[in-house]
Amino acid sequence: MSRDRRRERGATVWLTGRRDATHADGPSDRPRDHTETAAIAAHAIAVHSQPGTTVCDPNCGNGSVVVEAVRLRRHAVGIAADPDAWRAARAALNAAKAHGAPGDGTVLDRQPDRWTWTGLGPVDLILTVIGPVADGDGVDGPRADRLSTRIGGYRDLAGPRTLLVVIATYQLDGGLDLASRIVAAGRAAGWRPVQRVVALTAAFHTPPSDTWPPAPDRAWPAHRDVIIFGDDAQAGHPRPPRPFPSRPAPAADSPVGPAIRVAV
Amino acid sequence: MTSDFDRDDHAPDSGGRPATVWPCPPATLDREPTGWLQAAMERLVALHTHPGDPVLLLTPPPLTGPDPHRHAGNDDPADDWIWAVARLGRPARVWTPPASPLPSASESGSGPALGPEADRAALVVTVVAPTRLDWIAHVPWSRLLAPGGTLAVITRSDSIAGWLIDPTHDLTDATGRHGLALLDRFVLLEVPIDQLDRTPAPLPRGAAARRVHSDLLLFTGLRSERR
Repeated sequence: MSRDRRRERGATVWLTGRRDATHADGPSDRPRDHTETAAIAAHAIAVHSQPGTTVCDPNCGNGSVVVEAVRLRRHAVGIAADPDAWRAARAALNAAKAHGAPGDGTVLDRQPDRWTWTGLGPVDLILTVIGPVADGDGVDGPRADRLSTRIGGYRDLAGPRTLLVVIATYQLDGGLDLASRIVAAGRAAGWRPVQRVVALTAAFHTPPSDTWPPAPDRAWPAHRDVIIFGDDAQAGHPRPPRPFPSRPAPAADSPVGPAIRVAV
Repeated sequence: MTSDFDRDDHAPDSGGRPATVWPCPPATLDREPTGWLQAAMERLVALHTHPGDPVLLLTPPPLTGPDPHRHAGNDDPADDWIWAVARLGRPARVWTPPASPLPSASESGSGPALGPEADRAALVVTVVAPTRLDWIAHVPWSRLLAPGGTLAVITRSDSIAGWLIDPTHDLTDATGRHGLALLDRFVLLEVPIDQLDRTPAPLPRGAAARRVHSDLLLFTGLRSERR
């Protein structure tokens, strides 16, 4: 039997979980777990930027992304319009610097426009967290518009080589998962969705055998989705390949063809 | 080879909630590798059906032309599915929908061929390639499922030529027209955890990460559709 121990570098699953999944005691639908966010942000920064480049979180909350960026020797820019969030992010940044974080950082109280932005140079990576979002008005309603407006606003910070990475809470409502809605909103806002990866929020161990218990209830979130966007204006990516699209649905009461019974 | 699923007599409503991530079982010295897809199938069947419940395996219709994005491998796993379902004591059927739209019931005059509601499946499972979505709108999804049944779609998103190709929207649209709603989304790891690197390394600009997971989308009838 082959024992392939080849490591999967640059894989679509990130081992960012710290809680032991086997001891998870039920739902982890917390609004925002800062430890989880920090681990995922650190991974995203390491994968999608280089030391010395600029990382910006345009909705930086308590500053998890900013802190991880300066720890990893990046220039960090956080934006927090809410005064309490601004103070919290500033305090977190100061604490990180006091503990020897090598990068430089700043927290702004509003997003600069293209004409007033004279900060740390072009932003190389926009990294932010979205979710959970409030329930209410469906996939195509005002909420989708707000999401698109928010992600579209990030384009004012972007240069021709800027990557946008969005960490999305696992959330299903309105008939779609939040990550898929973010993909659609980003595309509508002119970003080019490039890839969708998974960041684990629990530490899984290789199961010894098929010993999972039966459990039909809704799942407890053990991951977050991470969506990577590029700038749509980049050359060489004129439009998405889509060779076999789905077509309009037939009548719902269409008959079903004969089934072949193969095993009973 | 046997697994604990062979001894499955659990009621589906017992036990704790599953995590949204399903690790890939490893090959061991005393156990042949089953592969992530067969393991996912076994787990699906054990979680969402009782012994004796009918399971319908839906395979895509054959292409009339070449698919430039087709990958060799797990797009045609029916043989493995049948074995996995049958050995868990569930009657398994395979159905391949036509590539073109079916005639409506009134046009056919023969009525539904799947028979009465009792013959509908408690679990319908299919694999949908992200570059092959032409057939999903032709499937009368709700007619395949027993009331309260579950549709499981194993799919994946790909990054092709710098673009994300994600079938989720098309799938929710196609099933939503037949009264099904997305209930859960799971991550199926295709490699054992210990083959993933814990230290992140910079990805070259323009490169896509190597895909090591698939997605499992679970759909069920909207409450108003249940009888």
